[in-house]
Amino acid sequence: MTEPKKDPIDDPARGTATEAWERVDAVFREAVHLDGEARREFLDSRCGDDGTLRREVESLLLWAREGEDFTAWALGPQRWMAAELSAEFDRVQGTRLESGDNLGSYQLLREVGRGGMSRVFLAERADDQYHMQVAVKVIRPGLDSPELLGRLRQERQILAGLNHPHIAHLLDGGTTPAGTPFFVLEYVPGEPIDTYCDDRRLPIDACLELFLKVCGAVQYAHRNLIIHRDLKPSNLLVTADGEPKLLDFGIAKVLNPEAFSMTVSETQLGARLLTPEYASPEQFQGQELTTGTDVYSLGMILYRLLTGRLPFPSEGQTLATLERVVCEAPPPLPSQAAEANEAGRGRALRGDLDRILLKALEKDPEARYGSVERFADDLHRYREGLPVSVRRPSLPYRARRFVRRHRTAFTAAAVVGLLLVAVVAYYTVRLRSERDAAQQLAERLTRTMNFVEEMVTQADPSATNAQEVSVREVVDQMAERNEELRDEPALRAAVMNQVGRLYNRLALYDEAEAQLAQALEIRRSLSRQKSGAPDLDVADTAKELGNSHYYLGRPESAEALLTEAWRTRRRLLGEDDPLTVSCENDLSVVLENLGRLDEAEAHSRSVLEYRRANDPDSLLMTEALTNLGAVRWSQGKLEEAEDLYRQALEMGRRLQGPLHRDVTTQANNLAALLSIRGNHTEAEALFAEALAANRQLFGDQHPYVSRGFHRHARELRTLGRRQEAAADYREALRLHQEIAPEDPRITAWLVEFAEMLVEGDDCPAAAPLLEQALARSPEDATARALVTTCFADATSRSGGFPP
Amino acid sequence: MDSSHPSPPGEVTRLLARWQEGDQQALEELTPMVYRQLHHLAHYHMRDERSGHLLQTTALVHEAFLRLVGIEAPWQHRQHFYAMAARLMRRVLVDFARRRNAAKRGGGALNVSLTDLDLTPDPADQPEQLLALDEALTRLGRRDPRKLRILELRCFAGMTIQETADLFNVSHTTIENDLRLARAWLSRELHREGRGER
Repeated sequence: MTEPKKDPIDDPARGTATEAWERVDAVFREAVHLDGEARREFLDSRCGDDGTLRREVESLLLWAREGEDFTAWALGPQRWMAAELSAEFDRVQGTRLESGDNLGSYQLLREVGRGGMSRVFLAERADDQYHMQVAVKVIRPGLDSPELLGRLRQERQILAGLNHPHIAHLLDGGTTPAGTPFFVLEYVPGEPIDTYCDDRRLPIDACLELFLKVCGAVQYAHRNLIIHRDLKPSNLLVTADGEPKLLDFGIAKVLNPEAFSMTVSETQLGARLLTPEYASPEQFQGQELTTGTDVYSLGMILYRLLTGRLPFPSEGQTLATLERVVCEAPPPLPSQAAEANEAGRGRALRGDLDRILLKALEKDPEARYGSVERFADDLHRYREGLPVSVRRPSLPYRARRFVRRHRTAFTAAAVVGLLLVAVVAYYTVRLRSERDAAQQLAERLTRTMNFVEEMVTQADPSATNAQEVSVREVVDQMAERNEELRDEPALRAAVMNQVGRLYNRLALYDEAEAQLAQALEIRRSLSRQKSGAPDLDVADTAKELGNSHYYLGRPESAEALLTEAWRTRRRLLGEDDPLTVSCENDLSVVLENLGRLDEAEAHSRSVLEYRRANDPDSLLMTEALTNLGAVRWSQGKLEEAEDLYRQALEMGRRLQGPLHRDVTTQANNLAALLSIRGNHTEAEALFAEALAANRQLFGDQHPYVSRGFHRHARELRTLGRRQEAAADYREALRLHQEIAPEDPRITAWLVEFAEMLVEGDDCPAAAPLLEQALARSPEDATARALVTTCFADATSRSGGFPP
Repeated sequence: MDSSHPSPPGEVTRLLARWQEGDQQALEELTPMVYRQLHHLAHYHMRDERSGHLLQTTALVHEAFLRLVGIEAPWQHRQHFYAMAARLMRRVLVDFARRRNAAKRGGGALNVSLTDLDLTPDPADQPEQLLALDEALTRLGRRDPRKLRILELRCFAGMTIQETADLFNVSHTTIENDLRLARAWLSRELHREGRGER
């Protein structure tokens, strides 16, 4: 045994091992492994006549318990710590929320779940008309810095953009009186997918069908650069009509920026943030998470659904053991696991399903399916009896090329890293869908990884506040750091393209344009060097830039870019490729905006036909219906427009439920059209419905609501229901004056309302409204005319002009 | 609760450096910071019924330390990093126990052993166990600083035997033997003490 070096953390009063103690140590070490006679003989020979040594060793041997499990006994102090911290936690929770409390406009009905960071309540709007139930997720105290709240708001907007029939929608959010944020989510009454399948003894094909819907939802999120990271049955509920709903998309990530700094440690720091049963090796090891992580967790879920078991049961395991198993042990062959669980079930899994599952459960993310899409694709192929892509077991576990992060890296760096990995994943997926790109891909990926690594490890922590980094800052930082890829133009353009996309999603169109314009320039020159004609990269960027231009109010240049993108994609991918179609869709919208209605019609019809054939029951279909409807309306073809709008609304309601902003918009559009066509009764009903839904969705302090009251009031007025109309006009004005007191709409509404009152011979009630209107806009002709009418009215009542 | 603002990393680094140079006062100042940090973290990490408390605690401990130290600390040596984390955690835990003990008023050391401690469901009942353990550990440290270090890593930083072995660059068996002896010695100490008090 070597003498330890000078030990700075020990007390000054520390001792050193005496010679006598070292002898005790040396003898004990060996003796402890010997029994009875052998031990006695050993002690005789080693201690000789040193009675003190012998007595001491024998005494200690008495206290040593041979063969005892060393893994458990030292945990006492930790158990202590846990209990202490729990107690402290409860004290802090003194201000805890209870059922019956009101949170904003929601009343909490009962607690339905709790997790490490949050509690979930079933709630309904306190001012509810429909008694629509929602889930309110309250974040635990501690996450309450102003910067964090700001970021939550921002991220919430991004999450709110996730619209998918199989993803529980984020409806609203706010802050509790105690200052902690809460989220309002679509309430999904349902049961976890594993018990759902078990209880119904769902046959394999039905499980697959259900599971593929889940894949669709995850794919959708990945396309939007959001990784779930915590896919597990308890986050995957199946409703009574058999539709799966994915919960908590992105919320874990958004709410837990610390999760990023956690994953950077060399130890098990991330441990408590993951659900061990479904967590991937890279999560255990605190490495970079990519879409591959979701592929893995999906693989685990499917394994569980098909076999009834988990490949690595966690029960009774320490995390360290589980980690070792998850990171090193191959999962039992699904067919065998299924057979062991229930005789006869294994046969169907043997072969393709075994291979597919093992591929998804590869330890090395790079060896798994490159995307959820590919995983799903193989399952589709299996269902249709086609050969699947995995032919033989893949390569053994390879040393990971994934970035190992510095243990004290900061949040900012980690976020940048994550986003970049998403960029790369995205780019990779796209690349992989091209043929013979494998070699090129490997090279680029390596380079990108190096780049990511550098970015992650070198991000200057003092440059940004380490704790609070907004998405905006992260994207900005990516944009800036991207300069370093100067010598790698293709990659640089790819990152810029992605950054531009992100800016577009953040509605920062100027910033998006700056990035995308440069990316387009680079990609154009690259494609010229290669083949002369624009390639798919050029088309991608042109489409994205076209969108920025459109939102910046430059439809002409948007049209040129989108046309180019569409033509290029059509040439290279064919007319019926989803990418081509999505481009054509954007193009049709811009053309409509430009008033080039015939072209807009042709394009939106062609998109609609494609959707009808390929995605007949999807949000893409409702979009196509709505777009063509808008064109036909502009063309004055109201009957067809109405029909299209009706179809869109009906489908939207079915896919998204009545409480969705897209659905209320569709209802309002249809109602406006019906009103024009003279169908006021139905228009009124639809306006009323949209208004009620918007009140639930947004609360009363929202322009959608004030304007909804106005629309409804106008419709009621047309129907001659003046009293009801008056009430709604008042409400519209009251709310809108609070929300947007400067909005010129208010004057118009005042005048409209006054006009109605005058028509009903109620000049006294109209007078104050007109006064207000004229105070806001003294030259308003209608208001002046109404004043005159009222004046005349007043004089005639009083018996004519005085002489 | 005013714990949402961790102490500035620079300050912690300075204190750690002072401690490293042998300034025990620095440790006194560090302890409440770690303690606050732990509570802060606990507020949103604890109490997930589904995963084990113990593991969470270990992670918390590491995280608290990492966050306190931040990026500035010049930790070239993993050994120091973890040893300091373990020592700090011991201090924090002893602080818990002292407060508990003060609140309880009374009760000298009982006849305890490490195994008893393992099985104690509610530490609020027997904070003196931990205090007794702490004192015994200090005595062990005088006799054999290395074993103390190993034991602390195991008990307070939640390291596995293999991790400890890797850290010290010795075999698994060596660490196991160190722990066996340390534990035997401690059990005897605690037992004697308990008897002496009666």
